[in-house]
Amino acid sequence: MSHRIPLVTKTLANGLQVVVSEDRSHPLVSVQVWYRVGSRNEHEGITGVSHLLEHLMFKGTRKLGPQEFSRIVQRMGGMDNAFTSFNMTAYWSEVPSRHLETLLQMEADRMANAVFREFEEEKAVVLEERRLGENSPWEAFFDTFQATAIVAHPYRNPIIGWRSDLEQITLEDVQRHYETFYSPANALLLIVGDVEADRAFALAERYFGPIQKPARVPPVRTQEPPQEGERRFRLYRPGSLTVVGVGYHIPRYRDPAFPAIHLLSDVLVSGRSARLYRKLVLEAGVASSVGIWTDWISVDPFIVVFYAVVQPGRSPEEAEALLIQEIEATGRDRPLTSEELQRVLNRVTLGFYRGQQTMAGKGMLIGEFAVVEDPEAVNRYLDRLRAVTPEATREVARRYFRERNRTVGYLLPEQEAEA
Amino acid sequence: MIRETLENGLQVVIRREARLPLVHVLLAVHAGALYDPPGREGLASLVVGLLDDGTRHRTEQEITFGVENLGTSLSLRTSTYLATVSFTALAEHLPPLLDILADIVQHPVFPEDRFVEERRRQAAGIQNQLADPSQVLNRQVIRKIYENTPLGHPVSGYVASVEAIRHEEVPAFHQRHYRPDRAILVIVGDVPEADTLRRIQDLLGPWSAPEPAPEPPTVDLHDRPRREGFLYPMKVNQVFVALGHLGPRRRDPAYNALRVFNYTFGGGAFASRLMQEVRVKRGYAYGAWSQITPGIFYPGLFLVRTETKVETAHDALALIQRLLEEVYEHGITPQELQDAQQYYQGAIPRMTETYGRLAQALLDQVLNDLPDEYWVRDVEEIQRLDVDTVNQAVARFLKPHQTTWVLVTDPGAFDPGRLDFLPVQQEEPR
Repeated sequence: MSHRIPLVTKTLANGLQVVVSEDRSHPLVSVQVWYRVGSRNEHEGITGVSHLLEHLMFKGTRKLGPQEFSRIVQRMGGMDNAFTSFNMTAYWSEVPSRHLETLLQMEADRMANAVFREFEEEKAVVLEERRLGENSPWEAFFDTFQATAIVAHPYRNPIIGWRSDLEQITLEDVQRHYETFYSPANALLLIVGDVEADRAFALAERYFGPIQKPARVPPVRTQEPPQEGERRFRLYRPGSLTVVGVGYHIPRYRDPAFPAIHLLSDVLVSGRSARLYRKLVLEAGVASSVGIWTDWISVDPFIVVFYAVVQPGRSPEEAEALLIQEIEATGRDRPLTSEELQRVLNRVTLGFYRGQQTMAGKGMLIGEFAVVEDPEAVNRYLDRLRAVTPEATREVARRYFRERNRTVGYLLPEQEAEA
Repeated sequence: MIRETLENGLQVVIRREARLPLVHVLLAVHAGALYDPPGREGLASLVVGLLDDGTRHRTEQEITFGVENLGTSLSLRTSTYLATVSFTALAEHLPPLLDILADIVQHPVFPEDRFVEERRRQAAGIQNQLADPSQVLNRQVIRKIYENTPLGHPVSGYVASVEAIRHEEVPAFHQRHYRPDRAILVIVGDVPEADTLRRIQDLLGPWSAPEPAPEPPTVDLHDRPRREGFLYPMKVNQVFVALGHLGPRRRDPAYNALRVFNYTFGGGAFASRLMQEVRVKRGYAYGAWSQITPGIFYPGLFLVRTETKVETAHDALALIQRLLEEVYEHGITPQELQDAQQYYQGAIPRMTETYGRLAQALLDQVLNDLPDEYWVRDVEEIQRLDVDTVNQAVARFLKPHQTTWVLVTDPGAFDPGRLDFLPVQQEEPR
C-alpha cells in the first residue's frame, strides 16, 4: 500500500507557496490559507493578537462587508472557518468545486485588503471566548501548566491571550500584526479536491500573483532555557474534579528525536491498551481516565503533559507516583516493545487515511506538516516513525522523561484549599 | 449496496466505497437510556461500556489488544434511543474485527470486578461533569424538557442511580435488549459486499432472540403550559443558557420545513439570526445557535444555546426571547428561504463525505424507514418549499411562550429576578 498523498507544489514570484492535491472522489474543493504566525510570535502586552486578528479577518475587505465571506460560502453550500494555534493561523473552506475561482479571489482579497470593521464588538466576542476558557476547569489547568513549565518562550502564553492584554489591545496593534505577518511569502495556499492541478495553479497565479506585500517577519529570539529541577503548581477550582498532570519539555517537530517522543506518548496514553490506562485505570483503579495535552507539530521545543483524572476517594499523590513510574520506566527497564511500536504505526497509518476522508481534512493534514517543514513532510512522516527502534525510544525517554525536566500540576477541588 | 434482514431479524446494510482503503462499521441496538429502569438511570450506558470487558471466548486483554494492535479502537456509546458499537479501520482488518464485534455483542460475561470498577468510574464521571458549566447545562436541559419521562435523564444517569445498580442487572439488561431483531448493522468501506454479508451471516446469524422483543415504553410528553426558568448555581463569570421545547419526529411531514427554519434562526452559523444579532451586532457571546434533534419514536428537541458575561446577560436573554417571538409571528423572509435552499443544494456532497457520515445516514434511513438516498430527496423537497409553507410549519411548531430555560451561573452576581419575561426558580444540579 502506498502511503502517499499526491501533491504538486509551486512557489509564486511573490514568495507564496502553492500546494495542489487533486482528488476527484467528490465534486468538492477545499481552499486553505495558512499563515506562519501564532501565539509564538507574540510578546507580553499583545498576547492573543494573532487570534483576535483571525476573528477580524471575517470583517470584510474593501469589496466585502462584515461576515460576507462566510455568507457567500454558505450560499454555495460550503462551510468555512479558521483557527489559531501556537505556531500558525489557518483559514479554510470546503465548497462545491465549481466555486473554486470565486473562493480564491476572496481569499486573495482578504490577504491583501482586509478591513477590520466592528473592532470593539469583535473584541467583546473574543473576551467571551476567553471567559468560556476561564470557566472550564480544563482550560484553566492547561493554561497554568504552560505558564509554569515554560518560563521564557512565548509558548508560555495562552493562544487566546491574557485577559488584561485582550482588554487593552488596539486596532493599531492588530493592523501592525496583519501587515507584519500576512504576506504571501509567509503563507501557504492549499487547494485540495476536484480540480486539475494546472488550472488550480493558473487561478492561484491570477489572484494571488499580483499581491505585493513585503515579508518582514521578525525572528522569535527567545529560547526556552534548559530546566534544572522539577516545577510544581496547585490550582483550586469549584466542583470535585481532581486532575494530576505530569509534563516534560520535548524537542521540536524537526528534531531527529521527535518521532520517538510521538511513539512513546502514543504507547503511554492512546486507547485502552495504553500503559497509563492499564496501570492507573484498570489495575490500580486510582484514575477514571488518562489523557495527553500537547501541540505535536511545533516549530520550537514544546511540552507534553500526561494527565490522570483521579477517582474520588483516591489520592492525587498516588496517581502522580504511578504516572511518573510508568512514564519514566520507558527510559529505564521497560522500553517500548516491537509490538507496541507496530501498534502505533498501524494507528498512525489509519489516522493518515481517516484524515483524508474530507477535502478540508486532507488539506489540514498536509498543511500542519507543510507549514513547519515542507509540503512533502506529510508523506515522509510515517517513514520517520518506522525508522525508530525500541532502543532509540529508550534513549530518548531517558533524555526527556526525567525529574529535572518535569513539571507536576494538581487541579484540586476548592474546598481542599480552605481545609 | 446490499440491504438484507437475516432470519433472526438483524438488519444489515453494506455499501462498498473504495476511494480509500478504509471501512466503517456501526452496530446499533435499541438499548439506549430510554430503557433504563426507574432508579437505575445510567444502566444502559454501563452495559455498553462493559461489552469489551470479556466474553465467553475472549478475555478483556484479548479483545483490547486484538482491536488496538490493528490501529483502531472500539467506540461504545449510548444515546437516548440506541447503544452503538462502532469503529473505523483499515479495510484489510475487517475480518478479525468483525469476529470480535460479533463476540462482544452476543457473549459478554460482565465480570464482577470490572462491573464494580466501571460503576465507580461512571459515577465519578458524573461528578466531574457537574464541575463543568457546559456539561451541567447539557444534563439539566434534557431533564427539564423531558421531565418525569423515560427520556428525561442524562444517559450516564445520576450518581445515586448508578451506585444503586446491582451486578445481576447488567446481564439481565443485555439479555433483554441486545437482540438481533432490535439491531442494525451498517458497514461502509472498501470491502466486497457479498463476501462480507456471508461472513456476517456466519458470525451473527446464530444470535438468537428467545422472547418477544420489548416494545418502547409508552411516553406521554407535553410542553410546559408557560415559560419557566431554572437556575443552577455555579461559581462562573458568565451565564450559560439553554432553552427549548419538544421537537419534531424524523418522519414529521414538516421536518424539512423546520430544518429551513432552524438554519435561518440559529443553525446556519453566520447566516443565522441568532449569530448575527447576539454575536456579530452586539458582541454578547462567542456562540449562539439553535438545533433541532428529531426523535425516532417520540418528539425530539428544539434547543437554543449561548453563554454571555453576567453584565450583558439580561439584555442577551431578552433579545433571544424577542427573536423567538419575532420569527414566530412574522416567519422567515423569502430571501432567507432562498439562502437556505442554496445552502442545502450545495451541501449535498458533504453530507456523506466520510465513511462514518454515510454509515450514520444509512442507519438513520433504516431506523426511520426513509427512502434510498433520502438526504438528496430531502434537499429536493427543500427546493420546492415556499415561504408560506415554511412559516405555517413555524407557527405550528414554535412555542416561544412555553419554553423551558436553564441557566447555569453565579446567583450572587446574576439576579434572575430582573428577567421580567421569565419566572426562575433555583435548583441544585443533578
